[in-house]
Amino acid sequence: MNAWLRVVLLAMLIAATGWLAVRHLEIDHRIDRFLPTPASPQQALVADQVGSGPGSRLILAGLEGAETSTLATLSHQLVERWREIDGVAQVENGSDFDLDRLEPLFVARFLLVDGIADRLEPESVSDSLNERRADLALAGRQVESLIRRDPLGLLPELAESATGGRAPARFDGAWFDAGGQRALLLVRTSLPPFDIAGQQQLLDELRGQAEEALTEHAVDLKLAGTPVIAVDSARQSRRDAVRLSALAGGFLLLVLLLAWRSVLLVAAGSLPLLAGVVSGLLVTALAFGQVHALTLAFGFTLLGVAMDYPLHLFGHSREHSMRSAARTIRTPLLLGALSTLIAYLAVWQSASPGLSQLGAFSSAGLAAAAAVTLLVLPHLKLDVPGKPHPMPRILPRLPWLPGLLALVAAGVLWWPGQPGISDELTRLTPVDPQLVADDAALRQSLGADDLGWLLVVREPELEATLQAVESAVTDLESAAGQGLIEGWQAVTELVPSRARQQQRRQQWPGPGHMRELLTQGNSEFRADAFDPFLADLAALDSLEPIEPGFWQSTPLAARVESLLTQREDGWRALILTAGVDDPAALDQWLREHGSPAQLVNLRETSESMVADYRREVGLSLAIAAMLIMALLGFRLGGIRPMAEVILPVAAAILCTAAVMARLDQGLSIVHLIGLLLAGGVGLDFALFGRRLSNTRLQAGLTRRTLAFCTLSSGGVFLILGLSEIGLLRMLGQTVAIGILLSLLFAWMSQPREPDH
Amino acid sequence: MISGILASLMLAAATTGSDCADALDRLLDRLAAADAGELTFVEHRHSELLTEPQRASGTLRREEGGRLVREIVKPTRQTQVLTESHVEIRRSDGSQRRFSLRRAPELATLRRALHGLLSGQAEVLREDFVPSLDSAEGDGPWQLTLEPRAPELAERVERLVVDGSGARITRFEMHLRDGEIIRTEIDPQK
Repeated sequence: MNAWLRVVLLAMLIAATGWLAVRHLEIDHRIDRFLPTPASPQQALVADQVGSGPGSRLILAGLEGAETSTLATLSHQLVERWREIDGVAQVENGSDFDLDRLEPLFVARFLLVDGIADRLEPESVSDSLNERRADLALAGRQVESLIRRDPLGLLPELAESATGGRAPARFDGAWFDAGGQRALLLVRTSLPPFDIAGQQQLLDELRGQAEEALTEHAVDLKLAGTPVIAVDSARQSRRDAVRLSALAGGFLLLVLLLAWRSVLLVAAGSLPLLAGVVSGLLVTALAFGQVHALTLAFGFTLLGVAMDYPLHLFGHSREHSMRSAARTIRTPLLLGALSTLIAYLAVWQSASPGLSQLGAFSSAGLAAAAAVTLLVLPHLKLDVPGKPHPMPRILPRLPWLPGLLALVAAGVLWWPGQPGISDELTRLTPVDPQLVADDAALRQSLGADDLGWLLVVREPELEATLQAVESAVTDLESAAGQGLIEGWQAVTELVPSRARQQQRRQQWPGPGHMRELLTQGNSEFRADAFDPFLADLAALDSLEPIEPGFWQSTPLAARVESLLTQREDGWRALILTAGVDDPAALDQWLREHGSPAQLVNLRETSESMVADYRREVGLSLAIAAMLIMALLGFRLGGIRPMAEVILPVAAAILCTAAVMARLDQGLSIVHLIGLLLAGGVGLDFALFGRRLSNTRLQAGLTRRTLAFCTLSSGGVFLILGLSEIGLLRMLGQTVAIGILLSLLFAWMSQPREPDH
Repeated sequence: MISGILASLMLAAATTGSDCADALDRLLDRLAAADAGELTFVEHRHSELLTEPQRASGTLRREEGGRLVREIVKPTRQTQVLTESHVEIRRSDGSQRRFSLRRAPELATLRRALHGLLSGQAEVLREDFVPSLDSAEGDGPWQLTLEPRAPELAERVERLVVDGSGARITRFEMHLRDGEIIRTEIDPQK
């Protein structure tokens, strides 16, 4: 009982320290903080877009399952309801504009439309007025006030471009797809895309409101777009992670109980891990001020190696007292821990804040786990029940086999034509193909923007930027004539350059002249019918030029903000494209015409970022490897003993790398981290295998301990490897295979014991 | 005795009522028999914006499926197809607009009324409207007032008054709740 008390007290002490440290700790969920620091403007753009791009804030919605006029009514109802939700910046369904909302457009319209001279041609004015007559005949008094203010019909055009959708059909003022069977809506969120919790809540509210509105109808609501996919992905990942962690935890407990036959020992054996976690959190909090969610997730797995330490300690304690066992295992354990620490410290030096945190967490954790195992556990006066069970040799002694297999693996990895490396991001997270299909269908129906690429214009000054965008738009217009692009959204549709605004201002006649034009166009209208329009025109003189800030408190603010940003070195404007089938061809066209716009392929750029990342981590680890070899050479007394220890580990890592490269069509950065972990465990195995096999009994005990280490750590990672999440699966499989091979190679390389 | 007089008075009233109903049927029969395939019309509508009331002229005809087609010739060429559920507007430049009749109660009223009148289906008229007929027999002038029953129509349209003579409709007037009156003259000669 005393022992139990000691263990529990200690656990509580560690936990209390941890809680104190963590109380004010914030968990960071921003994916972009885990990404490498961008090395080029293109990469900076991608990092930005991932963090807050317009494409990633768009939710597409479709309604079907009733007749068209019902769907149209429901569509309008949904717009009303959804506009009230927090986090929704804009909802559009093509509806005939709500004048209050579009008041800013009324004010600014003279400076936003183009082709002014054409519109003022007598024939054109006449046509417009006849259209207004026809509207009047049809709708009567309802449209009178609108006609008074907008005889030339400028508003419908502007409203169209302001909503950002280009649906093929309208019925009752609502967008429909070509078949008229599905009503379409667009929702823009003001939430940043990495705020998964917020997005989840928003989607739930959208669905909740829709359910209320649709109760009496058997109508189906479909939501698609980046936030939907991200939320679904996160949910699946979470579910999978929880399920597998529970499974792995249970399995681990079982293995440990099997190894030690004592619940008390299992409790005591968890202390190093607990201490490791607390220590990791403390150091990360001190060094960074916060912890990234991914750091926690990966950190726990990297501490898996910490489970091996008590296994070694208890494994060799049956014969002697625990204190004496601690002395015995001290050297190989410390050497192993120190070596692994060097590798984790190398990761701490990484330029990516996320990886750096990971390195810090794991280093501190490992050090604490080793310390607790060697210094605290032996003094808890624990008894290890049962007789020592040395394990006989299973594998023959084949020290040259690992070396041979390593050569074969190297060949496989570096054989020309084989995919050695892969930087595709899509394999890392689960994405429901149905959601992707829905997105494609709705996106096409709505004519919403392409997600894979953007056009970028960069200039030091705002006016220069806007003029460059306008020039680029002219290029796009001719590109459209060639079928290279269908549509685009540029910030100059809402914020034209000063030069252009001035030009347009001058093209509009004064109210007197305008009045004459209108009267000539159609004499059936009373002389004072368009006074409101003329008053607006008169106010044009005193109208301030339109700046980006003009749209601030309107629903269009988000549009402007996402398309135009000020950076330290100038301004950056984005042009979103729609209907680009061949980005390379468009890029070439723009180059040929000397356009200021540059096409950025988001996918390619993000892959290059990941490649840089991977290279950087690889380099750090290579340096770490050399330091480790130096350390071991020094401590073990020479190159040969060092090589004897290193060879099985290096062989295990190479063979694992070769296997995973074939299985997953190329190694990614996740594999690298997995190899790092497997290497740490493998080094332990090799050190113990070679250094703790002096007597037959000891060799047998070591073999048994290593077997249990493999079973526990390897088993846990094997379970992780069952995940549907690409990230976890890659990591789990890599580590499980790495550990297994390390075990086999360590067994094969165990020195011959002196026979007694 | 008195009850007998009362009874005969009531009978007389009832007979007059059914006379009225019969009169409507007879009128519709006459209209259907005359079968004006296409009606030429001129519609007058007053607006604050216009110096004179708007005049739209064109032809009206009935098509199967309860559709009413208005071919507007002046002021601009436009074809308006009124179906049971929606209106389709085809402009001279080819563009089309479609919206449901729920947003244009006047057109819905017009469609139902004319459909009933021109097809000679009195039950249809009675279903959609409360009819009251001021008439003379034979070739004399008559006036049919139709008040829409459906609340969404009655909200905008107070009543539709159809004037005719013999087997011809000569004009109709739609009285809207906001006070506007839309007058349409039917011209038998093209």
